[in-house]
Amino acid sequence: MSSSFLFNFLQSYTIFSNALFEFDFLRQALFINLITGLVTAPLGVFLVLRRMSLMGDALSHALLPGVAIGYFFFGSSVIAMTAGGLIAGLVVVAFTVWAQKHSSLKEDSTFAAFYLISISIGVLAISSRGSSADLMHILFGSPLTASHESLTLTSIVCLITGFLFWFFRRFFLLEIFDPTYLQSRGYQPVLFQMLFLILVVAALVVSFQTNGTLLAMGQLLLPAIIAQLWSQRMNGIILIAMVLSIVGSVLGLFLSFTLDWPLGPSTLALWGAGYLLSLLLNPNQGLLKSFFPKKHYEA
Amino acid sequence: MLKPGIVISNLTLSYQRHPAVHHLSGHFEEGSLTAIMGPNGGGKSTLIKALAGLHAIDEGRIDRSSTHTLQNTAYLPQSNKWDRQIPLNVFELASQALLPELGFWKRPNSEQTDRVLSALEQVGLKEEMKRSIGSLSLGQFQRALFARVIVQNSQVILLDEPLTGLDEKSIDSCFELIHQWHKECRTVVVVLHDRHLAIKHFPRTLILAREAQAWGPTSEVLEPNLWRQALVKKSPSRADEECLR
Repeated sequence: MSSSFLFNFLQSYTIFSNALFEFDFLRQALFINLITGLVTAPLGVFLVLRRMSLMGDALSHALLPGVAIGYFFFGSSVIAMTAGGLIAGLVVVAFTVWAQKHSSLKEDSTFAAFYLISISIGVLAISSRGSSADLMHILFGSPLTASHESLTLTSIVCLITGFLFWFFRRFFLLEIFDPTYLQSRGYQPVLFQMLFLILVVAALVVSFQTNGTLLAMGQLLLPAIIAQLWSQRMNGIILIAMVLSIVGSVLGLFLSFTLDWPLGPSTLALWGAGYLLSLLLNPNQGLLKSFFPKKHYEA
Repeated sequence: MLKPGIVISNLTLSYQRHPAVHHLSGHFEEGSLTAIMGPNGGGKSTLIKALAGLHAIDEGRIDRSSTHTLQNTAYLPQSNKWDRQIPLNVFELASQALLPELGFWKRPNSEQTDRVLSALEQVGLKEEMKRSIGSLSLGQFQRALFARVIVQNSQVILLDEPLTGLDEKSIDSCFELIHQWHKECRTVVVVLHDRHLAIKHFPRTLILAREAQAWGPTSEVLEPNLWRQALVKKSPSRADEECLR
């Protein structure tokens, strides 16, 4: 049984690696995953630290109408869909910050209202023009969307996003930890909050190409959540999240190609398994630790 | 006569038009050490926020002398709001005060690192500087925040209920620092609730119940009658009367 499993695995691996040489789109999807993982991981970590996991999720749904409208007018052009998603995301961020300031509604209710509206507009737009196969591709992602132009676009967006994140990282961290302090030193916390959300939108936009709009947030959140179980240091968390993000999405591509599963869910299922395993095995609060209790430090 | 450092004239501060501080006038002298006391909802935190430039002024004004500018003001808010799950260690927390000097990408140079280390030594946390803030006790965490104030090295220091929840030993070590700042001729304003601590440690006291009930030398201000008046004026319920007796 196990030897035939190994044989099957090796066989599919050979097919996959041959396909990597043969098909441009597969190679490009692989590269997109590598670059995207480097940028989405740190943003995801900060999003989790902000306790905005669920709101980030809502934000990713808000991309759908933008993507759909891009699709509606230009067919499956990656540039049009990406631009549409970017614009829709930015509109929602602007609206949320505005609504937060001018109404008594909480941030989460504004996000919730917006993402429900967004999904319905998006699905309506797609169904009035395309087929349900298109809908599936946009919602759940497909390596077939990868192309030379999407690789270029992704590289540019990732480069800018990654640089801005690195440049502002101290301010983003302080804005999460102690916005009052930031303000008392003469900075405007709301500006950093907005910039951070804009970077999250950009990360979502690059992630949706392979993972689909429905699951784009998964690439940001799941590696970050798993990493927090394994490390207590900021750099450690970010590094682990990056590695997980890249390894997971490459394996996901392999799984999706071999078993003919949709790409986004395959990758997320891997991270999901990683999350459950980490819950059990992590050295800090995991189940395994309760079998091997370490003695406390001497006072 | 000492020079006034912060002058408050006819100051009104409000939340959605409900005044929390109402037509307050007075001043904090340069190098003074003042306690702000008063009932809950009496506007103590609001006033100290306004002094830190964090609350919009409805009416009146706050004038600051050239040494008491907002850039030269350190503010420590009430300590119950921090999310200590954020992966930061004690050293990183104290280093946050260097942010305006370091800007976006500079690393602290040796002089700046020494400043942080000596601040941590002053608060007795040098040994613990690699520990994550989540693993500190409340007293240690409060001292780490005091270290951040020390690194900031400001002329004006505003502390909002820095002693809440601390045991006697931690309170003593906090007061050692506060007296140290007073000796260095910094202007220190502290919101607190304990009358005995105010009498023991503060030369001056402001009793605030929306308006200033009394503002001057602690020995005169914290006379039992005035203190009682302040509480009664703010909330004249029978329960309060009972408590005062």
